[in-house]
Amino acid sequence: MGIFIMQWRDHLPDDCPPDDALPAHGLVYRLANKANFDSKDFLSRREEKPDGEWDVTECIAGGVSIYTELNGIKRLQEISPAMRRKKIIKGTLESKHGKMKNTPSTTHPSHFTWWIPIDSQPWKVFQLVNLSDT
Amino acid sequence: MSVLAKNTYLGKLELVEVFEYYDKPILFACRSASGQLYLVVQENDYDEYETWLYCSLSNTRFQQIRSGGIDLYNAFKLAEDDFVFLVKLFYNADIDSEITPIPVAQLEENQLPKPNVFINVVTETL
Repeated sequence: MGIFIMQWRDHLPDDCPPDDALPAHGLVYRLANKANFDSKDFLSRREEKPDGEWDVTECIAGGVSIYTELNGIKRLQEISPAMRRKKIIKGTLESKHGKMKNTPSTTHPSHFTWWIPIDSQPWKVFQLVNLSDT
Repeated sequence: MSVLAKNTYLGKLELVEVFEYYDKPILFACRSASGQLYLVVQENDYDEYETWLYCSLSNTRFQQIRSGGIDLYNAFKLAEDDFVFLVKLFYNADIDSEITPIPVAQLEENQLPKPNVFINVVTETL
């Protein structure tokens, strides 16, 4: 049996994801720019703007935000008009989808940072959330 | 790009506290080099730039908002100075931010946080 080594995207620093990040797991929520979302909705800020200056560490800038509770992402939309214009999507992550770490915001505990490996295509396990069903 | 306005009359800004984060700070407080506090929320995003609302605050008002005494809607809608600033931050780092003062009476609901949403950070009694 071979050893599986996860390959991370090139933009991540060597010590990222951090040692205390857990294998990706469970139902998570994210925002997409449009209902027919695609891989571009799963890019980190660093990947979107490779030359940008950031207000957070390089490791955090290289991950993407997810919430493990729907209420967390709904609250985000209540706070920011820009976020309100986006679509909520959900997906169930497995270890092959990378690593995640709880990085709670001041206003909600269920925010995680998620680092996605090179060969993962997580958008395939996501679907649009119909808020009338929640 | 930084989420802070660059080369505007708001001054040289630094982050004080991030309250909500989603791929970047979304709701945060910052302070100018001369000490002026601002509460900031992302208002919209476009192909070439993002727009952010900046509301100047006294320290007392900031503590009231931070501890949940004032909701985020009224933090902007009832700004102490009756004005907020709409700041355009361009993705192209070579373009300086643009800033437009807006009387709070002209703010539309779709530019603001929803009513009755609070920050609730435990703070020392004033």
